Order: sequence, then structure tokens, then C-alpha cells
Amino acid sequence: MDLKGEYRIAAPREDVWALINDPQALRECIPGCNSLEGSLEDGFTARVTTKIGPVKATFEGEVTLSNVIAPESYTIFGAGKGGIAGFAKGGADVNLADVNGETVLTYVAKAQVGGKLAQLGSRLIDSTAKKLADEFFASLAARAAPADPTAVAIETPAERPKARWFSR
Amino acid sequence: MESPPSNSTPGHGTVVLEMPEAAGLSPEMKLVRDALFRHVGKPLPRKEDRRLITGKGRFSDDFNLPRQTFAAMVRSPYPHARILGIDTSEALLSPGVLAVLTGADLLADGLEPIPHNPVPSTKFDVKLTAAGGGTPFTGPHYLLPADKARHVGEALAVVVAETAAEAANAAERVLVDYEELPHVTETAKAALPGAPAVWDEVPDNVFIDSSFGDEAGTAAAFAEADHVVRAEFHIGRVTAVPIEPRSSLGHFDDETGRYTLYAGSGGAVRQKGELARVLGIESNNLRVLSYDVGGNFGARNRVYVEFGLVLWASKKIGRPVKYTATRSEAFLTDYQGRDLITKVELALDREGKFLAMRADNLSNVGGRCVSLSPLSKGSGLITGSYHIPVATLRARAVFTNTMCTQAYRSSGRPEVTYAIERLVEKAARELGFDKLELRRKNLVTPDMMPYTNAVGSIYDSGEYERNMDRALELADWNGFEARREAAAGRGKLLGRGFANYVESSIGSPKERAEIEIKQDGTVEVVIGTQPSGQGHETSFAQVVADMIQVPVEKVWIVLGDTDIVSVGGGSHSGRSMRHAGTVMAMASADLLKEGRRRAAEYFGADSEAIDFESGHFKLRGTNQTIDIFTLGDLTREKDGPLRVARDNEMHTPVFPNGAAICEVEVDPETGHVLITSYATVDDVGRCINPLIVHGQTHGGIAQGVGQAMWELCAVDAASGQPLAGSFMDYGMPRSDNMPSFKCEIAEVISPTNPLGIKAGGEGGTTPALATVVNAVLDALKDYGVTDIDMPVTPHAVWRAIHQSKGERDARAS
Repeated sequence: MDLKGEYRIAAPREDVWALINDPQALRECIPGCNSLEGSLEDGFTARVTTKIGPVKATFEGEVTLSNVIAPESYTIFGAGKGGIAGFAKGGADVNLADVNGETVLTYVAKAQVGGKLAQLGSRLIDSTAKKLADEFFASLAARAAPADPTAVAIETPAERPKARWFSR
Repeated sequence: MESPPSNSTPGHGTVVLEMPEAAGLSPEMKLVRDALFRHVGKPLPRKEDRRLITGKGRFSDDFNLPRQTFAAMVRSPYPHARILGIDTSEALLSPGVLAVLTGADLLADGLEPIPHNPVPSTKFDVKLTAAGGGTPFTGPHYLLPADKARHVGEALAVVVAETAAEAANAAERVLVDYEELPHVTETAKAALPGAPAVWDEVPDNVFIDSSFGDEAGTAAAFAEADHVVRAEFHIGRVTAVPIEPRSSLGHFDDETGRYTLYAGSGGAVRQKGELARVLGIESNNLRVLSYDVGGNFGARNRVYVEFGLVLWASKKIGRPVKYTATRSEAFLTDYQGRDLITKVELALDREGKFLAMRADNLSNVGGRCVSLSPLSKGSGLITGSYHIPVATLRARAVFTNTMCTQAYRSSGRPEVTYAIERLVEKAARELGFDKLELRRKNLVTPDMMPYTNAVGSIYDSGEYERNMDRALELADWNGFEARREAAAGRGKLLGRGFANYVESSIGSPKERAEIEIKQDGTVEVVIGTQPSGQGHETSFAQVVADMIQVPVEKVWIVLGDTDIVSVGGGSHSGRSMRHAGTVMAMASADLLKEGRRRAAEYFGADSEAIDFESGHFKLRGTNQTIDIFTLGDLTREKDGPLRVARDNEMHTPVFPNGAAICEVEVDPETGHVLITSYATVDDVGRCINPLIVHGQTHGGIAQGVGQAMWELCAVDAASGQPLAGSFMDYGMPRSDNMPSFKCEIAEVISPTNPLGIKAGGEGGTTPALATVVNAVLDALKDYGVTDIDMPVTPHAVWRAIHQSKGERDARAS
């Protein structure tokens, strides 16, 4: 499954960069994150509870950062095991661009789920992942620019070409 | 090259009537045969229905024992992973937990793998071997593997706790340390060089590679042929979806040293024998009870790991252990069906006569080999209903990182029927023949019966062209054009699909019947088959009631308890009525013989002077009679109960056959397919109860149509993850998606057994895949669509329409 998104955050790029490198900010912004411990250099261990379709699970896993080019981009990779619910793993290339004093954050992510999550929730993964990503970046933006508490998700209509079902 | 099981020249064969000479000729056997048809052949309502619809069924999960505990499985989320270790410490501290057992514990206790014995063994089954003729490696099936997980969902540990919820919670806390390994789930890819090996012992995954038929003769015929038509099909993976999920309750009794298992299956006797070997105990120290079974279709014929696990765990903790699968566990780990790739080639002469056929079948058995039935059953039938002088077949089976496959409703036969019936249709289209005339020209005719086909199967009897004619009448084939125009007026595309079929019914050869005249005025019949909805309690009672001439209400069939039922092949492969009917006929004759002896003694006469009529023994030439129940009572003290037991072994297969026609209406805007009519003619040999046979045919059609239209165990090849884990993702046939079927039974009596039975359980399914897809392709013919994969979902049909349109547009521009 491939995901991508783009968000406009009303804060300078350096602020946003600092935020996405701050373990406490990450912990507070990742939906369902119970704990996030460790360091940027050695990676984090995280515990996240989430619900996808009928499956609710607590994932325990590791989060690592690589390809770090401050204050522009990094690759974040996480892999978690959710016991009987299965596993999830994925990575995202995150990029920050400075546009008129604001920051446009783009990410391209790949994710894979296994076990019960894949069997029961495969059709829900895309929408759930998108929703979780929106929540995450909205929270980040709220922290980066408290005056303007919502990050604006920029719609990317090219993402999914509409089938031309009724066009003929 | 392996030679076929018998005479390899197609044409007349010989059929063995498998009745001991003496029994066949005895006056009692004559009595038994002459007495048929008071009940047999009548559509009697099922005796078991009242019990079942009033909630008095005894399904596996209905059984509970004092101090019972519950098991939950820890299942692999990976398609292929080495088990580096399993940490059970956290789970053991979880509330209510009594034990956590792993594959390492199992090896320490010396448990053996399940002896599935997957290579078919009757005289008439095709012989499957490893490449070069050796014994194939089939992969040991331990209750829990200690080395690797080989498919998603494989049980790696079992947790036993006071409640089911506590077991499930603790299972979450079992930490398995996996090393992910490269995986392969696709049938064709697994057989390619360089594919990841599922077993180190079979580096190329192909563990069966056998060839049959006359390779040189086939090559020569192809070389001289005017036309050659080729096709390749994948008959995808489906699952049986029984209403009742599999369930088992195991109990080890410390005082008697005996195990008891309550578990619905396709036959309790097999479960007992194989599980006793797993546990390393005498088989008499295991009692298996299997009463009402909520659907089988093949999935329950083989032993499931959980059945052994509850027995083993029960001994370990000293209390009964129960396991009932959830629906998603059933989707993941019920034995699945089909998954065969077939490449077929047909050589024809100028006039359309079939000259030769070549086939290459590749069967996906999953992570280990539980059964080769899907491959072998089809192998003997590649030429279908047609006289094809020479043929050759390469049959291969391959391991993949998927759930194991097993026989599933008409195992192997819908696959090869699909191949030949679509190939014949393709030949007609490409070479300009009428598709029905091309079939007629090549059908095996009644005067060729018994007919030995090109790979050695001997078709016992049948009137194939008559089936075809009758099916065409039922379906109003000639009125199609008017219906097509009417549909076109509504913007719909009407298509019609036809398929002939012939299938084989072989099955486990041994069966035993015990018949006893009870003191309470009933007749008890003990038999080792196992119904899962087939209505044996009625149809078997009809047979015995006729033979010993008592009302059918008095006959009760006892099955499913291995302390009572000692021998029996179970129900699969359409074997039950034929095997049970034969052995019940023999036992009935024995019973009448013993009855005549006792009556003679009672009347003080010679047993030659005793007749049997309407359930009464009569002293010839007098008005002295005694009915069979009274005789049983009066002689009980001296001679014991009036009771017989008879064993029989029967290897000769029979070949049910028929024709089916389906009409579909396709909406070109949405790709939606609606089945508007469905007609079949099924030659089942002697039909014992037409009501039951029709019911089975209807269910069979729905199952075949289901695969053609909706059902698929989808697996994401990249991640190896099964994607169909619930009814949200797995399309089931529903009554509102089916037309009212027009089914007719043809009864061409089989010469192979005393009742003349073939089989009635699978004829609905066998041609259905081909008829539906042929109909859809017929509907789409103006769009130039000549091939489509199953299931023919709206998306698939829409894509086919638009791809072909796109291709045409591209060519035009």
C-alpha cells in the first residue's frame, strides 16, 4: 500500500523540523501513542494502540530515522508487532519545503500489514492510514502554529484516477 | 513412464462387478434385490430434519464437559518465517492460564506428524510419484511446527485457560521470535526456477511429477493433425465455508487411560486412526464422536491440528480442553480447495474429429501436502466426455506458502471439466464449428460402454448424448434468440453456456454395516460413513427398509461414535451411498439368511422351505408366518440378538455424468452478471431419494456458480497475506443470486454394484464453472472477449469489455 500526502503548516520550516525531531512532540502527536522512548541517534521504541476496522491492537515496535538532511528531509521507518492482530511496518520519506514563510510538508509512505489486520482490514487500511496521518499532522501543526490549529491537507486529486464508469 | 492402471487402448473396457460370487447368487441376495423400490426411488422427506430444525442437532460445539477449559491458538502472521524462539513466560502469568504449549514441547513429548497419507492408493487411482518415479516428500504435518511457519495462520503455540477469553488474551502475550524468510504463494511462480523453497528437502517445490498416457502416440497424432487448439487456465483457490466452524473437545481420562474426542468430521474412524498415531497410543484408547456436522464439502475429511492439540493438552493439564474456530480462523485455516493451473492442447482433423489431447496440470497443495485428491481425481478424466484416441498428461504438485489444499466439492473434476469444455468451445470458435455439433461428433457413445479413456479410466455406463439432448430441451436452447433480443431491448447482453461432464467416484474402499433387529421393534444400522447434510439417516433407512421389508420409520442409522462404528471410509468423493448401499445389501442378505435359519428352527422345518415376504418369514405351503421382530424376540435368549455384521471392500470406480446449461444476462455498463436460467441433467445411476439428490444438486450448482462468479481466497503475492478473512471479503452465493433450477435425474444403472448406484453429490458442481464462464464469454462475444478469469465479478467483466474495446479502438486508429 502506498500513501502520500501534503500539508501546509503555518510555521517556519525550522520550527517544523524541530518538532518532527522532538520525541515528546512525536509521542503526543502520534494517534494512540502510549509511549515513545529512546533517542534520535539510536531510534525509539514505541507502543501504539490503534483500531483498524474490527481489529484493535497495541503495537510494540521500533522507530528509526535515516537519510537525515536537516532541516529538509528524513526517512522514518517503523515496525510494530500487534500480537494476534498481526504486524505493521512501513516507512515514509518526509520532506519540508519553505513556501513564503510557511512550511509545506510532503510525505510518501509505504506500509505493509500482516496477520488478522490484513485479512479483516485490508480494504480499510488505506482510509485508516490516511485518517491517522491527517490526525498526526494536524496535531503537529497545532503545536507548530498554536494560533492556527489546523494543518491544511492539500488535496491531490491525481492520487487516484476516478474510473470512467459512467463516461460511455 | 508410468503405465496407466489398465488397458491403455481407448475403447471398450471391462467392468468388475464387485460382489462376492456367493453373495451375488444367494437366494437371500435375490430376495434383497427383488424387494427394492417400495421406498427406494421415492422422494421421502428427511427423517433428520425435524431434529435439526428444532435445535436438537448435536454439533461439536454443543458438547461440554465438567471442568472444561479452553484453547486458543497463536498463529503466524508471516507466510514464511523461521521460529527462533517462543517466549511463553508473559502468557503463563496471564489470568486463568493453565498451559502454553509449543512445537518444541510437542517434540519433547514424542508426538508424531499427522499421517495424512496423501498419495491416492486404490487400484483405480492414478499413481502419482516424485520426478523419476520415487516416493514423494509430502512434508511432515506436526500439530505445531518447531522449525518454521510455512503459511499465514499456521498455529505455532496453543494456550489453555479457564475461559475462552482468557485463552485469547494470553495468546496475545506469547512472544514468537521470527526470522522472516522469502516466500512464494502463487502456483505458477512456485514451480519456476529460483523460487523460494518451502521445504529444504524439495528445493524446487515440485514434489510430484508424473506422466500418464501415450506420449509418443500423442506426439505423432499432433504432428499429423489438421488443427491444434491450445489454452491455459487457472482454477483459483476457494474455501468450503461450512456453516459450523470446526470445533473439538478433547478429554483424557486418567483412570481408564483413554482419550475421548468430540469433533465433527467427514468420518470418525479415520480421525481415530490417525490421531492415535499422532499421540502414539493404541487406537482403541481413543474414542471419537462425530454426530451432526454443519457442512463438510471435503474440508473436514482430513485431521486438523487442533483436534490433536486438545487431546494432548487435556492429558497435560488433566482437564477437558475445548477449541472452536472463529469464522476468521475458518477462512484462514480450513483446508482449502482447487488452485490448479492447467495447460491443454487438442488436436483435430479437418472434420472436427478429436485426435489427441495433451495436458499439463500443476496443483498447489499449500505449505505441506495433506491430500493429492485435487490433482489425481482430475488426472483420470482429462478427456472428459469425449472419445479422444490418445492423450498424455503431466501431473505436478507444488508447495507454496499458503494454507494446505484438500478435496473440495467434486475434487479435481470441475477443474478438468473446465479445461476441456472451454477448450472445445475455443476450438469451435476458432475453427468455425458449431459448438454443440463439435461435441456431438466426439462424444463417447453408449455402444462404447464400458469405455476405457486414453489415460486408463474405465467409464462404467452412460448415455451422454441423451443427457445433452434433454438438457437442451430443459433449457429451451432453441428459444434463445427471442430471449436474447428481449434482453438486448433492455440494454443487456444475454449469453448461454453449455458443458458436458463426466466425473469419477472412487473413495476409500472399505465399509462395514451392522444390522440388528432390536427388542423395541426397531432396526438399528451401524455404518461408518458420516453425513454432513446428505440425509443418510433417510436414504440409508430407505435402502434397508426395502431390503428387509419393514417400514422406513422403524429403521435407525447409527453413526459417528467409534466405540460403535469400528470401520468406515467416511463421506467423500460421492462414495457413501454406493459403498453403504452395497454393504447394507450384503448385510441385509446375511440377516435374512440368519432369519430363515431361525424361522426354520422355530417352525421345525428346513430353511429351504422358508420364504420371506412383507417382513414375515413364512413356512411355504402353510399359513404359518412370523414377522422379523417377533422372531428376533423369541430367539434372542437362545441365539442372541438377530444381528449381522458385514465388511466389504470395493475399488471399482463409477462415472456419474451429465450436461448443464446456464444463461446469463450481462449489463455492459456495470459488468454485472445475472444468472437467468440454469438447467441440468445428471446421471446418478440408481437414485435412492430424488428429493435428496435434487437438494444436493442445487447446493452443488450454487457452489460451482459461487466459484465462477464470486468466491476467491485472495492472497497478496507481495506480502503473502491472505486478504479474504471474513464474509466482507469473500463472496458467497446467495439464494437471491440464483434462478430456480431446472434439474432432471437420469438413471443409467451402473453395472459395478448391486444397487446400480453412481453418485449424486457432486454433479451440480462439476460442470458449473465451465457453463457459467462459457455463458459470460458468449454474452461478451460481440466485444471480442475470448477469455476471462474466475471469479467473473462485475469488475472483471467490465475490465474485459473495456480492454477489448480499447484494443479494438487502438487497432482501428
